[in-house]
Amino acid sequence: MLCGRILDRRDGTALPGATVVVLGTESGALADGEGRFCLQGLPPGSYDLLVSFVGYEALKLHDVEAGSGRDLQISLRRSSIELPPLVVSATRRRQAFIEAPLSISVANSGDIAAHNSFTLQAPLRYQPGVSMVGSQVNIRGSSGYSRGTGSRVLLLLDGFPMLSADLGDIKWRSIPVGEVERLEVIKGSGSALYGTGALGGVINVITRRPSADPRTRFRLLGGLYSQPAHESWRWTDGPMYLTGMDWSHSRRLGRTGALVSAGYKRSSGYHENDDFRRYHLFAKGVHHFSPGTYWSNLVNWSVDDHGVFLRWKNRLEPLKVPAKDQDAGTVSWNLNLNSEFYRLHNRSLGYRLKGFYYRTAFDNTRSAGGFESVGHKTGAEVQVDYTGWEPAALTAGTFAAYDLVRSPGDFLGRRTLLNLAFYSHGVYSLLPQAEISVGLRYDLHRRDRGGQSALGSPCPPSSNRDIRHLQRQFSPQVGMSYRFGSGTALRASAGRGFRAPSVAEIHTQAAASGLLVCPNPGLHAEHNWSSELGVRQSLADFAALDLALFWNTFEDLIEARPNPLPDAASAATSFRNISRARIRGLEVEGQLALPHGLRWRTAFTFLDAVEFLAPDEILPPYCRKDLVPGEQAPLPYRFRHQLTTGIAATGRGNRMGATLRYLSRFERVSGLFPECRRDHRPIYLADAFVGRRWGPVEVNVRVDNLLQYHYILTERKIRSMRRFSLALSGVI
Amino acid sequence: MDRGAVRAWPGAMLWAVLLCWNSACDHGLEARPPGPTGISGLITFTGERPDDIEQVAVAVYRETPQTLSDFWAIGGWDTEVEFTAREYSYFVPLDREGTYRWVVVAWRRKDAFWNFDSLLGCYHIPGDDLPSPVVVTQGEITGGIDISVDFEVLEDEASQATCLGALPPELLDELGRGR
Repeated sequence: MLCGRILDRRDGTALPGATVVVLGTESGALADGEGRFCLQGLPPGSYDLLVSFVGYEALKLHDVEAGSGRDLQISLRRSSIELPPLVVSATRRRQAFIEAPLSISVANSGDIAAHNSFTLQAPLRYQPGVSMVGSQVNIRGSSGYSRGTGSRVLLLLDGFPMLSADLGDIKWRSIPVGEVERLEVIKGSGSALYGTGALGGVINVITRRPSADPRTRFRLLGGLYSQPAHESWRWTDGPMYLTGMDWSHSRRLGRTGALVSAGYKRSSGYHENDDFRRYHLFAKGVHHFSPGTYWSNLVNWSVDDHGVFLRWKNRLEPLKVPAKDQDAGTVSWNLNLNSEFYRLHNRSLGYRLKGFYYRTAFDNTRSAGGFESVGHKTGAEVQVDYTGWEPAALTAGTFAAYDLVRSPGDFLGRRTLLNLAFYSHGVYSLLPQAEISVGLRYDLHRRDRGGQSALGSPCPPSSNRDIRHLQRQFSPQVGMSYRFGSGTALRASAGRGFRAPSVAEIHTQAAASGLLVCPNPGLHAEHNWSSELGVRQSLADFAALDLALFWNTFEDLIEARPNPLPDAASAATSFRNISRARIRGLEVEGQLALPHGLRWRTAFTFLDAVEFLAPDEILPPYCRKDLVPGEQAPLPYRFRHQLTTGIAATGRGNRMGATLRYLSRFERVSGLFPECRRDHRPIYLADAFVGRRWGPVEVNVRVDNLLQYHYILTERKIRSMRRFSLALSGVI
Repeated sequence: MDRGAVRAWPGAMLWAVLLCWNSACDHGLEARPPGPTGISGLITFTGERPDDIEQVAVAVYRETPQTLSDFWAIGGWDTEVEFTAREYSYFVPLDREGTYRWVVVAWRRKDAFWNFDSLLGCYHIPGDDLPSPVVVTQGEITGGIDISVDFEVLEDEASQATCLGALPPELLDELGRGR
């Protein structure tokens, strides 16, 4: 047992609610009303502890002996700068935020709730270096827009993979926003730890654990969209609304904690035929066999019935859909079953066993030519954490996943994919203030040999020999972090990432809106080398600055490009490995605590994202003016400049804030539409919120897109409308 | 949040709003395309519509295509023609002024893709046996470019002779429309 008391360094008052975690393990404790805590069930030995509390600087304690019988006296220093105390995603282990060798952004539940949003896309847009193009998340320019297939960012739900088996995309609507404790965004390749998909980064969504005391949460959310700024764009005289409710209950019975949650959301959308209804169930149970051993199970189910707004009717009526799309709609279902067993075997050895099942399905038979498709992803993982060779800590594991896709033969057909992987990652503490880390992962991907075009398809036929059905990947990574002087922390990392193409990118054959998509069975994995040098500087307790320089080179990048057909009088699109690309840039983030409780936060990202066109590059039908085969060109759908600046004030149960975002105009788009970039503009967005807490109840009023600025990201779809929303939430 | 914050807040908000007002108060995307420059007109449909028709578009070419790859060089188009109605008012935005020599209505079959020679009609002044050029001035919409479409003669090559008449014989041969 390890006990102690946590106090304010300045006046010695107790800090109830402060947290103590044992780094490298799953153990932790909360301070009681007198600031006291006890970590029970720890095998005798010495441990590293991280102590943190809101409004205070996190403190790391080295080699604290458990079982000595001596009480610890820990004092924390106040700080006006908010930094997350710990992260789990950068090395698959709990570690102090400032020790991570990669750039990480963290959004906690309060940050997420302040957006009054039904999905995590809204809070993610405000993270430095993160942007969204449609539903595709983009970390430091890694992704462009690939029409909803494939993701170069891996989404994890409590460490379990959440890319669908068929499209390889992220189902944002399936994530229970109200039950998210925090988001960790890892910038740069994470394939050495997480394998395919983590080419541009990793987003780990960490859900709440069941609370020790019975606790009921609720949130009621309502909102209205403004009519468009241009009278001629109006498509309805009725209200354009959104409404939703979430309820959850959490409690512990003996050694078992449980959390159940349900939700319902509905919206008219602000486009014609963009309405939706969603239902959501979420449950999490954790049984503690002993303080160092638990078994956690999670069930996450959702259904989403929504209209489809692909592209506008015409430029003069951009909020209406073409007549043929007026009844288009899709129903999609998502189910996660995740199970994890963790045991701290002794002071040096801990292991975890994980199993998961992720089912995604959609039915768009409401639309003309619609069909049903189902994707199953089943997997297991074993991970061992070993700290017996001090000052080194080792993590090693093996991972297996099997994907099965069932869809009509003229869409994807029946497809299978097997992924086996072995990984190891070590952290070595050179000094108490310096660590180096080394990781390596081996992945084997085996996919089925089926690949022919359906009979009658205009796509060129392919043979089994075209198929790269077995692929091996090695993903190494090295990193370093070093703290010195007064609040300075250096970090550096380099690693190789990869992404195996999704089933949809390889096998899709479809004709939609006049665009023909053909399969490409020869498609293979894309790779990158990602490197970063960063420094974080804290100035006293009122300012912090973080600067990162990054350089990523990509090979065989998968992009949707025109593909000639045998008849030559027509063309199709298919996903192809383009030759090479390079993305370099810098990211600056500053925080400043101003008088009167005001905080100012600004983040700026500059990207230089270019692709080196192959000498035999087939240019798109339009927008080819500055494209010369054999020369470099901007990568499509990347923001060269991205600025977010905001000011907020909190205290005495009140909070208010405003944020401005600027995103520069895309330098290049797909080239599949004749208007090219005519309708693309730089984007200016202003948001504001006011909130107040009365006891257990909190009200948050928010206005998004205050200045009613209309813009498009992808061709022929308006992306924004001013939105007023009010959320009433509470914890009982 | 203390009283100072309450006093400071309006100033901060004013700063924030002023900072972006100049750039954002125009509401971004305009109600109409910039210019506006383009061609508009009325498409009149007659005859019985085939069941397998999926999409109809107006495509505007600066020059009459001379090779297969020229079919890609479309100056602008309206792909959302509502062909279920008897009439449809189209508008094709264009980036540049000048003379546009080929204004055509094309169609696409269900589960198929665009074929550039799948024509329903083209703009030609009555009496002309070739497509008529349209002059477009920067910042203006050239209206009255009306086109008649008769579904009954969809497969009748003779009726398309006017629209295809300006294409070179070699190109027509490649399209399988050689005379």
